[in-house]
Amino acid sequence: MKHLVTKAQKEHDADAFIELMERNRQSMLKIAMAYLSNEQDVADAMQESILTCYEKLHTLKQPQYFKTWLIRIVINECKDILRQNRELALPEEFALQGTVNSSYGDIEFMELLNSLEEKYRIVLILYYVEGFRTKEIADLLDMNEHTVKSRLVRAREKFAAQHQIKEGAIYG
Amino acid sequence: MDKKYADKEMKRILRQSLSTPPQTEQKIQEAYTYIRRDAAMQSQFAKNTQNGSPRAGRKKTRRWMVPAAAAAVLALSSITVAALSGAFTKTFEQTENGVSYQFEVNYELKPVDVEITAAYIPEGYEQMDSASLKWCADGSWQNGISLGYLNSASLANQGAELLNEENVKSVEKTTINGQEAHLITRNYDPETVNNIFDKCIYIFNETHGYVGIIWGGNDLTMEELKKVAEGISYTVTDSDLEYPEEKDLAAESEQMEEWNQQEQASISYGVPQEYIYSTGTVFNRYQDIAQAVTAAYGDTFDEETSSVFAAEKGVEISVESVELIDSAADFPAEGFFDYDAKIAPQLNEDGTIRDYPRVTYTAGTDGNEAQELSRDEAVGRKFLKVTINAKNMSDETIDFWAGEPRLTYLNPSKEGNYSYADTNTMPLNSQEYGMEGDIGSPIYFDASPYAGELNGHFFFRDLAAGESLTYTLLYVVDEDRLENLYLAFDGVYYEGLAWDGNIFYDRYVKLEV
Repeated sequence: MKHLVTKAQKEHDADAFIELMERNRQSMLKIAMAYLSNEQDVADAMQESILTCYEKLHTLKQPQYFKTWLIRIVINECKDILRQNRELALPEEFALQGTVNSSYGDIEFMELLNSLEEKYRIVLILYYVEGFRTKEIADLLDMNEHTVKSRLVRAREKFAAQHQIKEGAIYG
Repeated sequence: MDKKYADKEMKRILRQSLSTPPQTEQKIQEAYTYIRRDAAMQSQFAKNTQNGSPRAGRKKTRRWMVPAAAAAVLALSSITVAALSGAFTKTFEQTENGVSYQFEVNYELKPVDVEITAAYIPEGYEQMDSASLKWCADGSWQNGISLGYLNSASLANQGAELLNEENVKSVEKTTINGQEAHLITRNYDPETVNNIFDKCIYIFNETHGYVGIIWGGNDLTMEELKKVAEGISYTVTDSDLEYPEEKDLAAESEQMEEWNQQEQASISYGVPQEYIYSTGTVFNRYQDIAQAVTAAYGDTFDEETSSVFAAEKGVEISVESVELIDSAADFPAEGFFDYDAKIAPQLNEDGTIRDYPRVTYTAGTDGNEAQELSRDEAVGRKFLKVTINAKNMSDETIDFWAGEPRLTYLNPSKEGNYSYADTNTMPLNSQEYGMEGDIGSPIYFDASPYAGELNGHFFFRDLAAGESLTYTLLYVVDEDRLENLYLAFDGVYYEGLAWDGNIFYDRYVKLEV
């Protein structure tokens, strides 16, 4: 990924930049969904994150930290949208699940997220999906590492409690 | 319910690929169109001027929705309203070793959020980045200065637990900027940790309802940390916060109690002999469990669930060989997780492992906290090379197959179930001597899709339909703890007894070395 970052930075190579975004699309999408429960908000967060990343890429000094840097941008965009929604008293509820093209996996994912509060969701995504360590998550979210750990524990417990026998699959 | 099972299931769900909602896809493509056009313009302009183009400011594309007619109103009626003048009152208790806090929150006042600004940071400390509230002088980020706060919404939601400290050396009560402050210094053993946040200052603002927290590392004095605290300003923002509802708190507490009881029941139950195999035995844990679950709960399943369990073909596992080896010199570095930081410093030139100082603890399986039992100055370590074969019996790929059983100890029993080990060992200083990511986890995996990377999924691998994978793991074992050694397939957290106590979930393989 490092060479793509360098190529996009130094040569203004749009294709390299777009490939970078595509490689990170799933991560960005999952983080946006963890924060935002409205499909239009998710769409806005994705678009704004991509454009912000494009505009600010030249400020990234160390390409090896691109992923962390990108995720921070997505988080900030999501928080920005949440803040705007709060100012406008917009309703939070808006089902992402049930959109026409939803796969079973999408629905499972959204069910899991919907069963947890926002503060737990983002920690889970960063830990289990992105493979960040608790310290890195603490840094990303500007919180104490103990808080990250306790949220992870609680999120697991909350999920386990709500995960019913009828779910079926047992792979680990 | 089995926590470990749920954990795995959660990972599977979280890690699967999502489809992009149509509206999001459209917005992404719009962004790409803008970028391609802009990059082309940049390139053209650069050719003409050799300077690159001045980019016009981009307008934020976010749409604005019509505000909802009415926002949901928080139902607080069930919460007892305390007759308090401020946002909270606190109860402070200091015992022989620790401090604890309890808060009574005034639900009549709306909780507020604050922004923190630090006016004084000692020379030599660098901020992690402009958005973070952490400063460090040695780059370790395990000491230095870290700022935080709890608002009264957090305090009402068990947030006060964060303020409780054990192993406290001293507490000084004082006033900082006109507000009550507690200066807390913790005891720590410099032998066991190199860098640590060993001091903190709490500042209590009962008027607005927040507690400022200033953590300090063992690299600076309390006097310096106090100067930092004196320079901090807390600005109340107009954030719209809400208190948690009482029924949610009660449900959460009940759930925690239920978990504790289940965990204790599982520990007491131990491991039935029938689930302990020898090297070379082929077992299929998933299929066994599917059958056991169907037998116990099948009549409660709907048709779809029944078909899922009936179709379960599982993964056949066998531990093919176990060998104690002295040196890892022949194993490529990229197969080790975090080789440079965790492995290389522990190796001698010939690839053997250096001795390490070890602490033995009680396992804490009796519901009590683990207690230190003994210390050994120099314990010899060896590698345990384990070869495993896993065969996906189904006709579908298993994503993120967790092929990393944990090394563990069981107490054998001639009659009845085996019991879990009553002691654990750890390096005296994990930062300095630890090689494993977690207790009993492998350090090497020759089939990792993330070889050479610091990826949290290092020990996970997809298992294609019908694929038979033979792979090698390396573990680290103490030379004097080679008896009663087992590989636990999902048995790390003492939660073998699951599904409401009817199904035993874990499987073990006895390692003869």
